[in-house]
Amino acid sequence: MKCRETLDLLAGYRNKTLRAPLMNGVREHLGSCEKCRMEFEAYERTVSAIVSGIGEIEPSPDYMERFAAKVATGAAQKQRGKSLESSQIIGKFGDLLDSIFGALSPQPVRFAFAAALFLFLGLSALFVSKLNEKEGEDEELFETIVVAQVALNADMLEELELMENLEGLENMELVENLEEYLN
Amino acid sequence: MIDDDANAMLAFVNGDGKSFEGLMKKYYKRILNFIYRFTFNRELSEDLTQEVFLKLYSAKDGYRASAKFSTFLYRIAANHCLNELRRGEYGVKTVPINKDDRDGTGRILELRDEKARNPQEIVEAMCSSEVISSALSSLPERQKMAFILCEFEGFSYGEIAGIMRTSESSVKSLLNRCRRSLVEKLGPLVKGGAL
Repeated sequence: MKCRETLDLLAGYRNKTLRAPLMNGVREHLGSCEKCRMEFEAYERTVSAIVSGIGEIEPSPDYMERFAAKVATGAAQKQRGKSLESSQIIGKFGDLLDSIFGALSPQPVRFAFAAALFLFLGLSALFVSKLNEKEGEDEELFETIVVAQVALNADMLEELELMENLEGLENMELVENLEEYLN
Repeated sequence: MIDDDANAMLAFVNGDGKSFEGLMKKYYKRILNFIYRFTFNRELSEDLTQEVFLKLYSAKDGYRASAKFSTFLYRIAANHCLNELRRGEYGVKTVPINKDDRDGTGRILELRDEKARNPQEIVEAMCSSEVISSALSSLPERQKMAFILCEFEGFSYGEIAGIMRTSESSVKSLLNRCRRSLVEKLGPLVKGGAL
């Protein structure tokens, strides 16, 4: 192992997480290279000083309760947000229906309007499903055209290659004729 | 192979709240200290640790036990820590190391021109943990993150690469530059017995 590679691996060698062949490689190199060994010793002293100098802190005694309170608050806010949102939507839809039906004051007119709305929604759903079926058929047709186009292009390529070869053959003939003429 | 902690997380995903409590008891102090070594601010570390576990709690719907659980959790913690500190809300300030240049709070936050003064003089003016935190604070954040994950948390290069979403060769390079920088800054103090 070379110095550069060894120096790149000193941290992993110190915390003993390198794979066995690399651990052995670094160990062997440090045994034979004084410069790298001094680098490693300086690093080890520095890290030991850092680790002991910083120490550890303890969690506050109520960390679990604080966390539970945050989860509860978050859940409550989420729930409140959801119910507010859905109640607002329902409220707005209700307002819309109120304004429409409010304008149609006689009872039979209201029934007729509701029936017309129902019929309109049903027909719309039927129309959309038919449209999707047609789109599916169009997609199949499109795929067939693409496949045919690709096949056609492949044929054209083959023809092109053949023509290029023919040109080559013609040139060969020209050279042979020239040679015969010269001879 | 799925580790025990990943299994506990999967149990939580399936509705076992006690499993989450177990994971929190096991990892809370580790994550708290991981963040503390990055920020050197106790209150901030507590807040960020709570937020990390809230993120873990909310991650249950999309959780896949594809990586080691500790790698997954430290990835959340590292991302959250870096993002929050980059946002500047919790900005960690730095001030010069010279005795006369303290910022009035008594906090010494940057090593500067350490060769110009006798190490003994510098150490007289401040406690060793402040010198160390200053040296670590002066590192680029990704070098510092890799160093903490390697030397304090005991992760391998491959695991650090997974947590920091980078390659193993980048981790080697980050740690090598960090090593040179720390030895340059703290080496004379350590050798002189000041730390």
